[in-house]
Amino acid sequence: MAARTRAEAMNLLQGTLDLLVLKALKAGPGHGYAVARWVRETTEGTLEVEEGALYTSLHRLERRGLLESEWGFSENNRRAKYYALTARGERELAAEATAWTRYAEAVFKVLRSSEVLS
Amino acid sequence: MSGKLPGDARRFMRLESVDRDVDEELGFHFERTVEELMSEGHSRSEAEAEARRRFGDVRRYRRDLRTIDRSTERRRHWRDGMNATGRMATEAARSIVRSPALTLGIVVAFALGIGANATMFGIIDRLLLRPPSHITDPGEVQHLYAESFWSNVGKRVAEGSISYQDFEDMKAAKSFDGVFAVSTRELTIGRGENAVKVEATLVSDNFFRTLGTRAAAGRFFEPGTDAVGGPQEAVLSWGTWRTLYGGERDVVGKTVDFGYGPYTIVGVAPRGFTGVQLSNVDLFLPIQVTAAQIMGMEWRSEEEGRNWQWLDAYGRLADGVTAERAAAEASVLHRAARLDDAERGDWGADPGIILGSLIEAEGPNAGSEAVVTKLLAGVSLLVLLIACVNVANLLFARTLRQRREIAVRLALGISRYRLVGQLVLEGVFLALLGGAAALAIAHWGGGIVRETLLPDVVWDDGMGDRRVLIAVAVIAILAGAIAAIVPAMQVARRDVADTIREATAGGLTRTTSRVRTSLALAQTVLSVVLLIGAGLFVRSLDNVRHLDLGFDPSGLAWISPRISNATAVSPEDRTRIFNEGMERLRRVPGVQSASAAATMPFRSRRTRRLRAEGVDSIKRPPSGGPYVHEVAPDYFETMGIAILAGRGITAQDVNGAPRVAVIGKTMAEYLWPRTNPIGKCLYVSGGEGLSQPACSTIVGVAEDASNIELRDDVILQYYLSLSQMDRNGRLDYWFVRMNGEEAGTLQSVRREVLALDDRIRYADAETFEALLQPKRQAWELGATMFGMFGLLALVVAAIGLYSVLAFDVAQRMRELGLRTALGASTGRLLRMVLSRAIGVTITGLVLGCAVAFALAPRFEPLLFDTSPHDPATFGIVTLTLLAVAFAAAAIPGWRATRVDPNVTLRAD
Repeated sequence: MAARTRAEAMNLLQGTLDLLVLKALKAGPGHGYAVARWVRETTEGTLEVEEGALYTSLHRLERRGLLESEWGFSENNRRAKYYALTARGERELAAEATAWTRYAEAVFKVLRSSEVLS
Repeated sequence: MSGKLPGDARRFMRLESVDRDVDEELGFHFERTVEELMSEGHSRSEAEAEARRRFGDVRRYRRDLRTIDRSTERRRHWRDGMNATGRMATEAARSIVRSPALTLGIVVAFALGIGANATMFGIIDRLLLRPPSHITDPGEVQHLYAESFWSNVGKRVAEGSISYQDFEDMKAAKSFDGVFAVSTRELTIGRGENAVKVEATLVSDNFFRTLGTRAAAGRFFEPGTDAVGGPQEAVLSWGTWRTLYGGERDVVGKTVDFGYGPYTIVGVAPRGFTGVQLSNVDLFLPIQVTAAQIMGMEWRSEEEGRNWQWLDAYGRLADGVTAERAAAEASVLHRAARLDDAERGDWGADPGIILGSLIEAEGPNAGSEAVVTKLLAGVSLLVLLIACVNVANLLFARTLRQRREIAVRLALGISRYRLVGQLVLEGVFLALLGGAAALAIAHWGGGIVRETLLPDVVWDDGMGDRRVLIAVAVIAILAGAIAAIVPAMQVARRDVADTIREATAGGLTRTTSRVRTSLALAQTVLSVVLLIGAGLFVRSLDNVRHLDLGFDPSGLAWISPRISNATAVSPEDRTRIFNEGMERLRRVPGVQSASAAATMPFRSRRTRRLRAEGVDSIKRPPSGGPYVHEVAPDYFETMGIAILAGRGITAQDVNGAPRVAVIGKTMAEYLWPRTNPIGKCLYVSGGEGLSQPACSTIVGVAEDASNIELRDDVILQYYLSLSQMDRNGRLDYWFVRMNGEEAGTLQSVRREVLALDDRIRYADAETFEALLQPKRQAWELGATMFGMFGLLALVVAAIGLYSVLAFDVAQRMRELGLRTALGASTGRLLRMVLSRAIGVTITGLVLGCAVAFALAPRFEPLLFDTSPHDPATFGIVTLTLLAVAFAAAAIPGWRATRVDPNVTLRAD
């Protein structure tokens, strides 16, 4: 429960969710279930996100043309909807990742700083 | 929403599949999650609960996902459509570039057709569609016409010009939010050779306020300032401010002098503002202040005022008041004031007021220019139709040439929809190219038409060009689509196998050839109709030009002095100036004879209280009158009016001698039918030292001379001796008859007049030919434009006929070669090829003549002394068309007889 509250307190923005989804598909195409599991495992439960929100993000990204989808067959031969990054999606991911890293580093620097206000 | 649209079933099914996809995707997700949790040792029910917890509100998310996917689907569909259109456009553009010669032909045809329409649109828009500029809610401003019944014409006649008293009656009507008066006058600024003539509009002080116009600089007239003797103020038009005052800001406060003392410039009207009219205005002046100075005071007098119809009244309908109600209220006021006149016969019976649009051409007295313009608009559409037919013909020829390619593409499975789309798009592109060229034509051609045929209208108010641009775009798109759709449908409808077979054989099927022939036939019919229209107008114009006016306008000119402050010149001085002027003008080289009068035809009319011997009361015809002309000796000789009996006015008819009169033929007939009028008495009011009407003995009868219009229906007029009448504050004219070299003579005449007296600031001088020009305008316009359009149609039809024949010959080369080889005679070959040309021409002529014969009578009111079935016109058009058809057929025919059998047979 504690982790969930923190996630809510961090007020996970739509943009952040989109960034996570794009990153999940960076390695190659995957279906929604795989994306959800990757996010859960990679963050080790720190960011507990409702899976429904992840799907919303997937569909929104598709509408924006950052993802494209295709129906295929999963490992155990069931019909599943696979998502893949488009060229625009790749560019968006790179840009967003840089911006996020810079932002996080800045915040981190502040938090680590030992100097005090004079 | 739009899901209910009928015929949108495909879209509905697409959206249904979107919903199914979302369900399937989520189904897969839950299955896998439950499987995974169960493999970790959870029970199925535990696993299902956990899966739902992890996912969140399933129903909400599913709804969201469906919404997103539907919009994704819509976007995709739209993009696909755009891409397909883009591909079609590229194809169409490529196809245009591939055949430059054909493209040029089509673009030229479109340019002419659309150009004609753009030109006409510009004119129609100004004359008929767009009210004068800078007026708030122009639809609410109405022109008030005085209407009454004239028994001698048997109908009600509407009169735009009314008296100041009539105007004041109507000002009291509560249905109007302001009634204002307008009257135009020509004035001069400066004097002598350097004087500038200006068009002044005299207006009541509520004019600008009622129209809702805002001043570009300074202010307009203040309420209540317009009164006899009130402040002399002027508002400049934008144009006058720019040209005469260099557009300087400090113009407000300066003064301008027309010879009646200084007028202070108080403001400038916005650019393109011409009040309620379409013709140029240089400045606006308060109507009572100015009229009192330039017209004397008779227009204000209780007895005489209502006989002076010199202004037009307009009113803005008050909120929520209909035009009918306003007219009814104004009628009540008008009737009360005019009833006495009506009973006396000085005014028509049952007087009332009717309202008309601010756009004069829509009002009850639309001029013939408006009617002719409407007709010409129809004609220009006809020309466009001919151009479209011609383009369809050319496109058809081209698609036939491309049919092998088209057949292959159809066989490869390209959709017919796309093929037709591409062909139509091609047509639209070509038409837009033509439209661009048409804009140039409309700009230059329209400019020339406006300058020469409608010179008085102000065109530049910064609105016209944009509207013409839009009109051209719309016309071009429509014309392109119309021209391309017939050939496109023809090609697409055909069977693939047929097309391929035919394409290989190089032959022409009966259908395609029939389509092309009927297109050529349609062109011929249309051009025959147009040419006949042109012919009728040319004949009318010719008749107008040679119309017997009752006087001889060629070599005749009028001169009128502008005397500053007319009241400052005593009647004796005026008489002396006029007599001396007449003597001097007679001696100017090039002048045959000279005379003078108090009035002049077409410019001014005058009536006097009149009683005729043995006649109870004189009924006024709707053309008014009887009109009196007070003339100097030699008047009839100078004007070229024939004296039918007795004598004219001579130098012996001076003050003190017995009073004499000459009477017009129709008036004599009107007063004393079948009786010799000479020796009878006309009792005329006014005269030197007379308080009672005295007898003027009729000494002669004169031929009727046009006085108001080119041809007046009933014209009652009589002539008195100028020197036997009083001459207070009256306009006077000199007339001179010149031989040869008119411009130079007129110049000397004007100089002579200016030298007479230094109170003469300026002299108007104009030949009667120049004066009559605007009156012939409607026919000039009709003849010129119809002629141009008819010629255009003829050229286009000739090209169409030529292209059909040339294509025919090219198609039948093989057959012709074979026949030549088998010994067919030249005559036989010619007959073979030309039979179609002859068929098209004769049928086209007969049909065209029949259509023109049926339609022409409807335009009879526009013709002048010309029968709508004028045999000469029909005959000349027939001959012309035959000659042109012969010329168009000659080259293909010649080529057909020159076919070398060796070459054509070897070609396969």
